Amino acid sequence: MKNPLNKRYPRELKGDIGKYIAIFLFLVFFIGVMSGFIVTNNSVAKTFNEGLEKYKVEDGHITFNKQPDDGILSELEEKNDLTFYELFYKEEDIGKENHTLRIYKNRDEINLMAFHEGRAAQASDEIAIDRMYAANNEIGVGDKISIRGKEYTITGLSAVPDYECLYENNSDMMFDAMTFGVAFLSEEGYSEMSDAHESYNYAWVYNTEYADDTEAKNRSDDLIDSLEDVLKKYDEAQIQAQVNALYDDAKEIAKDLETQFDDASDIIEAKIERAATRAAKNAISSLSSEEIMNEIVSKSGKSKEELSEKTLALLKLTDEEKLQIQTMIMSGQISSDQTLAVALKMSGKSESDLMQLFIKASGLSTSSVSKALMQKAAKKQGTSVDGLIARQLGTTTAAYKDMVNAFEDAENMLDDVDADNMEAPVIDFDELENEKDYENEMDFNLDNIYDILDKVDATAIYDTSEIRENLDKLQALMDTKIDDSSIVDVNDYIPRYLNKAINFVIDDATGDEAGSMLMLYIIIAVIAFMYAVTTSNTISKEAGVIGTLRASGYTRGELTRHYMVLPMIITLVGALIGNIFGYFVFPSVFKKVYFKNYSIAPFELYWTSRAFWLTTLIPLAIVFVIVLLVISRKLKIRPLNFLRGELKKKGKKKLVHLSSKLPFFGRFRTRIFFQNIPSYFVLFIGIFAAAILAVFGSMFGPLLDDYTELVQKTKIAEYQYILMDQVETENKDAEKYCITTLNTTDEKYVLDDIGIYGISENSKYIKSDIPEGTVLLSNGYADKFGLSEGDKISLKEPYGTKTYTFVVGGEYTYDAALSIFMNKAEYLETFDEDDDYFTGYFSHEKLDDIDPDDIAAVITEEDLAKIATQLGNSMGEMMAAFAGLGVVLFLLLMYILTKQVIEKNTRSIALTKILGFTNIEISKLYLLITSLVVIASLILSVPLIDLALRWAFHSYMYTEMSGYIPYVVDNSCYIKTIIMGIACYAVVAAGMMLKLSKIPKGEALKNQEL
Amino acid sequence: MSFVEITGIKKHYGQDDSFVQALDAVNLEIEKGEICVLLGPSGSGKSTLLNIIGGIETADSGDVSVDGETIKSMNEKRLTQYRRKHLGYVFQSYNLIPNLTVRENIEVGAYLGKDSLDVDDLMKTLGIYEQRNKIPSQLSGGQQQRTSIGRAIVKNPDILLCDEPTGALDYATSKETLKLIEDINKKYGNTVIMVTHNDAIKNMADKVYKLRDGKVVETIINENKIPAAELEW
Repeated sequence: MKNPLNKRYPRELKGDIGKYIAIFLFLVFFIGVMSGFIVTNNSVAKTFNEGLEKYKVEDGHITFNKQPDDGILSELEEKNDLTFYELFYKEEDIGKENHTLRIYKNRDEINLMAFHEGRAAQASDEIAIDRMYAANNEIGVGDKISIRGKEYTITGLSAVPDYECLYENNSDMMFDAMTFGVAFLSEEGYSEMSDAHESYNYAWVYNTEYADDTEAKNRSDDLIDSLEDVLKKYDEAQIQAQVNALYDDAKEIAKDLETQFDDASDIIEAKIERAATRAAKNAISSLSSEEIMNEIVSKSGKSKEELSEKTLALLKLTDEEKLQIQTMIMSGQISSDQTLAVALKMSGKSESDLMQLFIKASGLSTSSVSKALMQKAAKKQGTSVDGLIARQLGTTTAAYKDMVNAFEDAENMLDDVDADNMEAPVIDFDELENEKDYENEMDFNLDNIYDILDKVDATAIYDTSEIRENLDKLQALMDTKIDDSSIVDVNDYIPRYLNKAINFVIDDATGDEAGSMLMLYIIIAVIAFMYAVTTSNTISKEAGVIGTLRASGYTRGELTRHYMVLPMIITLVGALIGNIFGYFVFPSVFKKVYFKNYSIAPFELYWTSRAFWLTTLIPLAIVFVIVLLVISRKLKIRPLNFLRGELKKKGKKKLVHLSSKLPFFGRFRTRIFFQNIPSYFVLFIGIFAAAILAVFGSMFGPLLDDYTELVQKTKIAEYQYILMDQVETENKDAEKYCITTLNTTDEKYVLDDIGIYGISENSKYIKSDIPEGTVLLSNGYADKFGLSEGDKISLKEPYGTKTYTFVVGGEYTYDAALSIFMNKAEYLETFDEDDDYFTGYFSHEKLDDIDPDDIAAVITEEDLAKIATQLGNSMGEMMAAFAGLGVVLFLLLMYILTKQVIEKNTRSIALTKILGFTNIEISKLYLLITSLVVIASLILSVPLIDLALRWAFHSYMYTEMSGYIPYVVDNSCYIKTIIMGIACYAVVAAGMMLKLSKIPKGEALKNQEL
Repeated sequence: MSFVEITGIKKHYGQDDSFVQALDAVNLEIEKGEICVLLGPSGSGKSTLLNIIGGIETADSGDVSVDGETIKSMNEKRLTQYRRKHLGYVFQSYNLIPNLTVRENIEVGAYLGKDSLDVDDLMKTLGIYEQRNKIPSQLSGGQQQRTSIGRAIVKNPDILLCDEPTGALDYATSKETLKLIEDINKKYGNTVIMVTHNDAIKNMADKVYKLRDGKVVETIINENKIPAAELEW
């Protein structure tokens, strides 16, 4: 026999049809949406996974600064077991402000194109364009667009797997399908287009598939390592060759210089020698014989008489002549002092011969005598020996002396240069790369040589112009910078697993699911508690029956099952019908949402049992567990207690004492409050959940407006120029700055690009002192990563392994991007840059005197606010759905729980009617307290919502998204939510007042169960 | 050995100032098929005793044995099975399920029995066959009580426990109800244990236990019992 209690179900259902229909419809809609969401997401995921092969999706791409040699690519291919595919592109604007079109050739090997409409470009003036970009800009097949002055006809609306989400740069916080798009030209069309803005991009595909992201990361790390090695090897060889060539030239010049110096040295030495001879001669001739002889006597240490005698002997007179001289002395014709002079005369020799003989007699060397005589003559003339030589050379004594000393140094120096054995140094590429300006490492001290030549020039005894010519050449070689145009560098490197343009859609499709399911289950739990509270109330109402049935032998299990059946059936049927909608109706809606936001290829919907399990079985399980726990607890009471109406588990009901000073109505309402605490608790939780949805759904509009305003208010300058080369401007408003990008290393967060600014001292654009040795963080950076003064942060270079550590010195209000501001001097030191290095200008005025080809980018207000615009576009509808869901939940909760309070008190209400209370008074008694609970719940929810959303932003959104958007909930959102909640309650209360007025007085007279 | 044997049942409520000895060493014996009345004023412990026999109240000490089976050692699960197998309950409040018809309310009882009576026959016996498709709110008090008796008796229990079954009924309806209980007792042979404060009702019983302050103060064996229809009060 079937349990006759089962016959109650349809009657129960009919008796409380309002409640059940409300819950049922809510479940159908909510579960339908969720199920549809999963079906669609699953289809997107399946299409994505199948598309990897179908569209031959890249495993990553590298953009080089120049077209690399084939050798580089083939070495990388070999080392990493992969294949490169050329995927060059040109970026052009299409006449609209800030609009960029990234133009590729038609693809037939990699990242293949799919068409939503039309076909690929065939003629050179045809173009296929991304569907999303076209839709956002209201252009279509057959329309014409102008690029670089040439008109192209749109032949197709395409989608490619590497731009499913139109991220211009992987570091962009948000994709931008409004101003950024991709397009495809025919081979001919592409080659005809100017290659001024061409990027040398290569996609790669591994020859063997990788299993998961971990393996993808490992392979990518390996690729980066080998990329570094291969490029280093290549670039090092390029530089070494240049340096070698420079050194070869330098070597030749050095050899010339050595010869020149040798020659010069010989010539100058000869000149000096001649001058010295002349000087000596002149010096001696300026002295009398007497003086000379005295000097020799003095120098020799012998007596004059002795020397005279020896000299006389050396004159070799005949005996006759000797006798004659003797006679003359004796006769007094001559004195003995005159002997030598007479003897000289007799010998027929000259005075000079006599001096020579005199020197000979002294035993001194001619040179030492000459030197002594020169010194004497110089002294006599008030100068030095050098002075005498200098005079002969026609220069000053000082210049002569300097030259002599300098020449000695020069010889030593040239010995050091050793031109024959001179070799180019082995280049350390890493060191050079850090310096960025690629010095050639040639370092001779030519200043000293120039100094020597100056000294030679000062004497005017030698023409140094030829030597100077060679020295200048050597200096020129030293100053020669290495030509870095041949150096191959990586401008962009993104493995697929990190590529947002590829993964954002699939991440969105799979990542949203967890959050959405969590929301579904929380709301299902709220509904389960509603069931539990209302069933609990029914159990209280039917206590007598339950007591009798239990006394008659009905088991607790039978009764528990009985009371659980309806909630379970409603949930099951709601979920089943919801799933029908979820499988057949909502996916097409979500598909449209996908197409509205993402540039995905056309896809089919695939049905999955997963949606059914997630949106039917788990909700059923939640309802089952919660209702079971509450009901079985409630039914644990003994049968006798049911019969006696003692439904509190622990003995007697505790009555809260209320002061009689409290007005009657107040006490009455307080009792109602205590009687319905479980209902009100569920109401509070439900209102909190609904209000979160409503606030979350309405916060982004004002938040994005605020953010746009903040970005504009805190911008550094009207224009931020980033230059290709260090070009100067005449504009006085411009201020130089440096910028580079580093990546975050905190693994708790997704990778973020941090702009590192080097700011000039006394900057007029960054008006904040940056404490020495520290950096200022942009407020968003500090907030997102929870950093404050004194903290240390570690950042790494984007395509390498080098890390930098900074100490936080404070915050700087700049909302547009995650940035670090440091003193320029410290920046230059940190990144090993020259003193005159800079990367761009801040300026409030447009810099017209800079050639556009020298400008890499100009960041304006519109660029900064782009994120907010795109977020607004893509999230608007979803947010409205959240707010709508909040309203529906408000209505449902308020309706069921308010109705519950009224029904619980039907007899009392009827009795108060009999006693003569008016409907208004009764409403005041029974509805006002619920109204107060609703309002209090709404108000109390505000700080809790703030806490919950703040938590969600910091613990979930900030860790899952790159970039930053501040957590700000405009007060208007809370006010709107409270008003919305009150309005929903007003609608429910009006209905309840009607219901209350219809309660017949006879209810009070019916047989009381308890 | 009697069909129902109650030995040394003690039961108290509360403590200290509110201490009440509801039953104080009560002993009684009831034979199979007897109508036994537990008579006493309010607070005498008669309903407590009935509830202890029904296994919905536990005694402090003493024991109840039904057909040789003692309920003292039974856990909650076995007690439920005991009630299911042996007992039918009738209360002063009818405790009918408001959204089930008369027939369905009786079927609720029938569901519990392995060898339940025919519901239609029973309804005819109870005189509520005409009302079988009505819901409780469409019935008079007497009809509701008949229905509740029907629900209790339909599973053909060994013992029918009636707690002031006429307490909420007028004189005529009360007599009708008592007659019905008597008829059922005769027809189906169930043992009836009925709690009442109405002294006149004792005359229809085979055995009467008078209780006062939790004690059996008098045991009456009616050699000449009066049919319910002839009772006067």
